[in-house]
Amino acid sequence: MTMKIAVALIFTIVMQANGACHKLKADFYFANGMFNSQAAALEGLNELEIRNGKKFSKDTYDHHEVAYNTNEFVLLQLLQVYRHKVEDGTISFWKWLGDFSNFKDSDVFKEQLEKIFSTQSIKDVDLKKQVARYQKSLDGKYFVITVAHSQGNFYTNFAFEKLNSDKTKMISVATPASSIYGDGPYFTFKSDGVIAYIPAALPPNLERHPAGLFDHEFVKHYLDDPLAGDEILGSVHSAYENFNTSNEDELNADLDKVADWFDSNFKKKRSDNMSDCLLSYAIFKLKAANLSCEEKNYSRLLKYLMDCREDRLDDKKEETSCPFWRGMDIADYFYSHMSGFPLKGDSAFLDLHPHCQIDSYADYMSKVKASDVEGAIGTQEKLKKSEEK
Amino acid sequence: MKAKIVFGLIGILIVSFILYYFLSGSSFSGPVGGWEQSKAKIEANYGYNDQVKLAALQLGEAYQKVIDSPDNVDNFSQLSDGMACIYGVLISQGIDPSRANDSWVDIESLVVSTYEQQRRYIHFNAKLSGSMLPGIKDNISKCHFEVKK
Repeated sequence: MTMKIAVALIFTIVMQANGACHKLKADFYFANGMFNSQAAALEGLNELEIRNGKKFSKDTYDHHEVAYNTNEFVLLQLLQVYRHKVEDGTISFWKWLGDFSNFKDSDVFKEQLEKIFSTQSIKDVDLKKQVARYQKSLDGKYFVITVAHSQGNFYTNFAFEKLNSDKTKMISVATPASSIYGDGPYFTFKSDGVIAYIPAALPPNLERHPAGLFDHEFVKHYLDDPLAGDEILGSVHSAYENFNTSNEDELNADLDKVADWFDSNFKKKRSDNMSDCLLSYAIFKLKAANLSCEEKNYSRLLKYLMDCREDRLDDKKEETSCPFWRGMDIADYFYSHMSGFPLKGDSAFLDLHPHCQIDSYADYMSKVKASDVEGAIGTQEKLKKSEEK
Repeated sequence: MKAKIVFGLIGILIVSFILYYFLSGSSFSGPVGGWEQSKAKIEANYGYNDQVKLAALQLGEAYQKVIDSPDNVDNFSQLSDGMACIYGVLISQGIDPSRANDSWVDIESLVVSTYEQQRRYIHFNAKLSGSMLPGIKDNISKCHFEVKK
């Protein structure tokens, strides 16, 4: 019987060793500044895509969207300035607005800037839809990378704080904010005349050659500048690369449902019985194992649990691979006996599941029943079947 | 006495309803118009090629729809289609993508030019604020006319 299981497992491991791993992808967003119509914001996103595609791989991102923000009240105030200065129908308000030199020494402009960059104005903005969309990306196992321009930085900071995920990264351009969520990189020209109005903004850190009076526009000033453009695109690329290297605990796609179960159990501290302890710990160890994503698959997890079952059926057995019994990373059986089960080093696991702590071999023998192992295997198989459906 | 109270309450309700109707209603009554002038400007700027002209007019009409009824955010899908169409047509003609997407803002400024049009367009943009707008890909299947290759 044991032989049959072993053969079956070896076969399935070989068959699934090349199984699908999630292609590590990011969803890409552009959070526009206040002085952008929807068309200009979409153009900003499109320019980022075009230049990113020319510089790096084109198929890195699945979704590209604009996290659009504007402020009707402020724009209507500025429209009044425009109305007094510009003959009706000669130049578009948005084009006129983009040329910030029109506002040089304008009190209305300064006043409106103070309003739009006030914390209260950000708090008043309803970002539910954007937060929900970001969350959808994260739920779909995508990283979120947002390039935020001007006051788009406030909104992105705000949205990312709500998400509170280490799978988000923002790259800030011309930021009026005093901080960046996740300490992302930022790029502000010393000659950015708009940010110069904001005392609390992060200090400018880039020179533009030749410097203009109001170097604030996203495409025309920042992306088109060879140095700033390279820095922005380089940061987007680095963010993507860093996400990849930090994603070493990714499991094979055939464990998607199991991983979801683990995430919900692990985060919500819901492993309330020994069977769930067994399965959670096996997944925890599989994630941490020095294996490729392809190797961290369903068959391997099943093998861990089968090993536990065998051990539990044969109490006198001294050699085992059961992760729960001895910890897979420790070869010394007696050491693992002394250190307790699971190993004390697994504090991340035990902090969340203190009731899973096994203090001694005797404790293990008394707490972990064969039915617990069967229960863990059963849960795993059930999750697998629900995935196949 | 009871009848007085009932009539009083009915009166309050009617006044409240009238106030609500006027205060919450759109401040934009009817279409703003101006399409003929905008159309002429688009034809002058994009008339160098029939396909480009048709695509530019499609996007222009979408902008006109937006400023005619700026409360209707559903019109964004027509804008989005118009942008994808002209972007696709221009790229198929060998125009650099970075120049091709300039047409979105350019046509916007040709259609949205008077004070009243700008006011309406600002309102439409504000209605979109807080949402996610999908990026535009070049896509000639979004054109309302047959694109000759």
